[in-house]
Amino acid sequence: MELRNRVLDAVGEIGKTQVSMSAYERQLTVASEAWLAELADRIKQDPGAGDAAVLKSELASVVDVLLRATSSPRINMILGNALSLMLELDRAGNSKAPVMRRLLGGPLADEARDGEMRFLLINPGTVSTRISVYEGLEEIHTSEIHLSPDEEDSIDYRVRVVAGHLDLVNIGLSTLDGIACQGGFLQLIPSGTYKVVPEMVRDLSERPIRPHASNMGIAMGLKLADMAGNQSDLLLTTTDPFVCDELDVVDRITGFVKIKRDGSGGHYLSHKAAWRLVASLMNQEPEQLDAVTAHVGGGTSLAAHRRGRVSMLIDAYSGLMSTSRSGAIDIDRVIKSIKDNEFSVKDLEQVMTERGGLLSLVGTNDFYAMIGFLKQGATPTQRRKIGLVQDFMARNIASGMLRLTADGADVKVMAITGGLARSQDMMRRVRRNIRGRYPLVVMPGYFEHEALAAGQIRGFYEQETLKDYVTERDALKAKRRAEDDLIDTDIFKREIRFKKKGAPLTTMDDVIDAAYLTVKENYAPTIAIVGANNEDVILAAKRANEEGQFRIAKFVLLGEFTEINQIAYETDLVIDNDNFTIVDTESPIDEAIDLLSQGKIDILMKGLVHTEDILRGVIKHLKASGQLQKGQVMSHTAIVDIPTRSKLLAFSDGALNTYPDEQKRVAILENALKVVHNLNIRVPKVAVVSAVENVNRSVESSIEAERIAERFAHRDDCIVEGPLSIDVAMDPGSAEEKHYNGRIQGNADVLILPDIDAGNVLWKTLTTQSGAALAGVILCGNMPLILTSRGDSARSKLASLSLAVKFYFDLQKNG
Amino acid sequence: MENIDLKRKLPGRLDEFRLLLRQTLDHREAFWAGQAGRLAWHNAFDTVVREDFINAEVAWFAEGRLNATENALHRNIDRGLGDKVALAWHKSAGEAGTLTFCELKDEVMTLAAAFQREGLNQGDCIALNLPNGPEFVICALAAAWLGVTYLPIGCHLPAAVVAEDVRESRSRLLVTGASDGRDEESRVAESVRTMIEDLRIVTVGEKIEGLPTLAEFSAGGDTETIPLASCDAEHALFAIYENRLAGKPVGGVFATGGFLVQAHTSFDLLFNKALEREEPEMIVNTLEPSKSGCQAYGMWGPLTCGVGIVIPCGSIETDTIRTVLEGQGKKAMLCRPGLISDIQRDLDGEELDTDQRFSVIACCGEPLPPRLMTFAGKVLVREKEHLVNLWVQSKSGTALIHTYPSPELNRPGSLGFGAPGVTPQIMNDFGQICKANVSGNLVFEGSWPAMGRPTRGTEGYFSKTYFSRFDGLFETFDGLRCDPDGFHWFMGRLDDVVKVKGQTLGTAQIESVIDTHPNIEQGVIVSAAGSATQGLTAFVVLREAVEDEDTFIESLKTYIAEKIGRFAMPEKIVITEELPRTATGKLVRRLLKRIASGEAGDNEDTGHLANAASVQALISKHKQENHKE
Repeated sequence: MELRNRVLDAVGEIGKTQVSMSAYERQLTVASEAWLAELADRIKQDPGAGDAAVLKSELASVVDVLLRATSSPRINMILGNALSLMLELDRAGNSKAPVMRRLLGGPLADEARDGEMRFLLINPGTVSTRISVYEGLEEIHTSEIHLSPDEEDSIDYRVRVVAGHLDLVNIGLSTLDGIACQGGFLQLIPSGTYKVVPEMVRDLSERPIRPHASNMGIAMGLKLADMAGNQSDLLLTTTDPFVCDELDVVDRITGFVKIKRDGSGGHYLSHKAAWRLVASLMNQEPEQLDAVTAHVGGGTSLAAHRRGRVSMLIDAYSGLMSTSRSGAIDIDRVIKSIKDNEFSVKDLEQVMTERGGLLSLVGTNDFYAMIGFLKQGATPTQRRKIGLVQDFMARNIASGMLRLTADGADVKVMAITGGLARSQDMMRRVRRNIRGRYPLVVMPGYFEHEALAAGQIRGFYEQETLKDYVTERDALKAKRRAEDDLIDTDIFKREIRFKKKGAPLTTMDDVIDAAYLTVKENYAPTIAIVGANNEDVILAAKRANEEGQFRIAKFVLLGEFTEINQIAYETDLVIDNDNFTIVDTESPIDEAIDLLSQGKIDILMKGLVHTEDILRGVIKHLKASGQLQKGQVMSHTAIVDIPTRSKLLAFSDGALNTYPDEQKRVAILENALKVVHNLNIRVPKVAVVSAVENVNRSVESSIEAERIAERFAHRDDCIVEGPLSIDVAMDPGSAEEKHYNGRIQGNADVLILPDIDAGNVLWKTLTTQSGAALAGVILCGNMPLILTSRGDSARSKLASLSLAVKFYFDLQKNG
Repeated sequence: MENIDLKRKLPGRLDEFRLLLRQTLDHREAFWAGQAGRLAWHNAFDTVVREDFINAEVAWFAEGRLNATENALHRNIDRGLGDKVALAWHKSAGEAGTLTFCELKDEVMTLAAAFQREGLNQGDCIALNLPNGPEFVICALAAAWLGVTYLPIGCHLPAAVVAEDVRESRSRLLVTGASDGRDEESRVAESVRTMIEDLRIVTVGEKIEGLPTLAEFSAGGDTETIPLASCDAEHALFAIYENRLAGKPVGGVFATGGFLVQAHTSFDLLFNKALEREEPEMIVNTLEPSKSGCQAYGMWGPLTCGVGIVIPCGSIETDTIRTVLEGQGKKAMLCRPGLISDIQRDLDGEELDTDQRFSVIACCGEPLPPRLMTFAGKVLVREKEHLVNLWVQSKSGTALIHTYPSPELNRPGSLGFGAPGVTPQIMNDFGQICKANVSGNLVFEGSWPAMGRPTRGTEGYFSKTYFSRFDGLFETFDGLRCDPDGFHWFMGRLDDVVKVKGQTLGTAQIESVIDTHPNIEQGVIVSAAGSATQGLTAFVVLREAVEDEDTFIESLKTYIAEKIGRFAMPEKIVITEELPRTATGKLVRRLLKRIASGEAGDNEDTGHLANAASVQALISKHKQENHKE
């Protein structure tokens, strides 16, 4: 009594004085520690002590004062100890009622006690089924029914054994008012108590999130209710299963966009119980109390409680080590080890789930066996190692708990529960790490059954709080899908998918990725935008450098200084004389050719100048530098990615050569081959297109097509056939139907079209009608020229740029 | 002020120069006090500056008294420059003339006596509707001697506008030599005479019956008795009307003290201190007198520095430039960038037929593009670095950002550095200062001595236009970037410019009025053609949705017509949820223009916009409406 008063005095003083608190705090610590120790002793000596009620009220009054005192590390430590002791007092007797009362709250607890509702609780485990029978707030029977090794484990078998056992202990199924079932790995749902519905059984049998013995709980409940014969009167519930998911969207993000977290896998029954208990101990509404709880037992998880939701969760997969799980391991080391064949992915999986953690560090997953060994038999070095491991575990737990305060919420208390919480030594270590930042309440053992029972009682007396599984499940799914969309929203970066070197490029993305990789291996080439006083072309250049994870090129903007600056301003283009440089000129083409000859630029891109003018300039340049070979023709080759086709299609010429003669068309074909070879298609199938697939005297293009095909007959770097109609060239079905017997069976890589009309019709039809993405490049000799047109999508422009960049480097390498 | 030594030459090295600039900002008042000390004052000022930039109120050199003409002429004569040529001119007919400082003083005194005889006193105003020429200079100096404010009126303006400006400024005398801006045949003097009855009009050039010529007017003055006006530093030296809003001319007034000090400082730096050698003895002024830049660098700056002025009268051809260059003495030239491109076009690859070169050419207006600078470097100046760009705006008075004729302090196409003691900032539309090379709005963080103040009765427009968007900052409507070396680069004008009765009007001024409408969050005006007032389209974002859009649009049109004038009334008003903006908040006017003209299509590339979705909605909405019509 005297000690208690000293504690109260000291707390009072701290409340008053803001300065020189440490003296009072020290006094308080000494006094309260002594007093709490004394109380604890008394409880130990005489658990059912007559003066328990007095002790409780004394403790309550101290807690009350501590809660109101200005919080400080020391006060927090004492508060944590006092709250732990309060709960210990509650659990001192054999009765479950005090804990149940705390879980349910006073009024509901009174109603349940008086109502004497009787219900069964089933919790199937791997080797046994644990059952309890409650009446009112008291557990009147509990048992663990082991499986017989001779019988095959099944729901029916387990139901039969449970029914038999109840019969044996004289508890008739018909006397029950309800069954509380362990929920298992249902689909993701928010926490709470759910009425059991057949949809749950379907989800558990058809698509359980994880296979687990507890998945049988609900089906067993339904079968037992059937046996009781009065299923409609019987209330079947399940509460806070492992698959609760209430995470904040922030906590769902990881540093790798493809992997998003959810809240499943936590010990929700345990967390929610600990949180409700600690709120009750602090005399607060649970929903008003922001807390962090730790479940440290065979499995381990940490939860942050915010406004009644578990907004953050840490489990073995997100970092926490446990007795048999490794928790987070530095991923770079893991990757290296797997690469070096030190262990396999399968080994890694085992370490993550069952052979890691304590088992890996000390060879047992039994924490108390390790402690026992420490006390007898361990060598000094082994002792040091065990101490080290304990420190590691404590730091792992404490750092995780502190991490769960990093959302800035006003966390009032932390609680730790589970088998490991029984170890005073371990708890001392954790406490030391938390260091009074928050009051830490230790709740040794498990409260899962009480929590399951409390859920059943709440559901029975407050039916309106029962949640509907299907509704909640579907609502959460929709919410998560919306969040996923948000997380997946593209900002700048598009991921580069690494295609095997030299493998054929089959989509437009492949082309773009290949260009980025080429640039990465070499350097960013300098592209001159000839006539850069054009918003579209500037945007295309800007986008190209922003979209990837690094720039694809440096751009020199040739044209009217003032206008380019104005456009740069409005498009947020940063003129830094590195990525983007303006060259003021009245004659961009001449300037570009000049810079090209000086080797200051690598590739030309057409801006606001006439195509024929820039081509004339390029020819002049090529002639002057002796790069123009005889018979070479400039032509445009388009590459299209058609959604319904599994590979890219090239065609030519839809833009440049109007009505080429046979000689020119052969040159056009050669150019197209260069482009397609550049896409790593080694032996491309080229269809020389006509309206018919047989030579027809009245269709001139068919005659010419045949002659062109003949010219390429001896080549082994391509298959050229003609005449071919479009359907035979592109549609395998038509090719078969028409009994076409060439080597191109609707799978052409290149179409050579008779003239610009045909080319342009194909171009515009594909891009406007089929959603095809198109990239194009003009080849002048061995020089690519980038040409985008206003109607092109941003993607098309980027693809055209990419095509030219890749081409540029490949030509350099080969030339 | 030991740290800031502007007496010697400017440092030629970039780092030293930037340090010096920094010091003028850190000790801004001491710097300006030092500069002011180089002029002759009757009364010392007691404070350098009093400013309340939030409320757009500024006063420089309070309580100081001085006379501008005394500083421009008498001070130089006292320094022994009396026989130096102060004013020279070349008229198109080959006629040329010169006046030394002493001769110019006599001319000015004679005219001042005539002004006094007319009863003009300190505080009065006269209008000078004169082209660039000796008459203008003499009139302005004479007026300033008496403390009479002068109002240059552009010669391209029609007589009706001249009359309106005269009336609004309460000018008691008009000196005009111009023909009507609209009608070459008719003389402004004759038309104005019929519009304002009791106005004294003096003509220059061709004699008009019943009106005295300037020579007749000034004859017989008694130069001995005219008193020297001791003007308050804040006394208006001159005023310029830029354009009109709600039928009222709006413009800037420039104070005697501040303007003179900054014009003197700026001229001295650019044409004297930045040069290692070949400092010009004369400056060739080819600018229109109705711009403040011309007043600063074509008159008050050179004269207070003892540098003479050469005026090529009439239209300026390449030949004129050659003639001027061949004349006596080292010269600098003041021009607009267009003149350089005109000369380039005119020469068409030929050389200018003379060995003479200007020691400096200063371009007022948009910066000269690099290619023209290279051209000028070959033909007009010895080194291309001797061509400098001056950033001058109507309210800036003098150049607030400019390059220097010095190799390290000039880069082709650049606007250069903030003037000493002046703090330009590049700011994005969220009011954050932009990083190096990132473009944004040019704003000024404090006042400067030559800053123009609003003309009478237009204070509201002034603060709405220049001070409403960024608290306590002067907005310029120009987009700039600043590179890591401190060079500023002009990126573009941020609003549209429309022409009204011969004067240009930034749409920002119309927009700032639209924004005062109680239900308008923001309004933007774009002109489809860019030059005419026809086809204006307004895009407005409302504070609250209105039920009947058509009625609201009509009422808004009336509002604009009343507050600004019928000319500003948009042909079309489009109500929109959002305006197209980039991620840094920049308004994308080009897109609005394309939307207004119906050019913007469904495949408009809006990827760079922050609000692409709502802009796409705006495009299709506008398209539908166009379709309906």
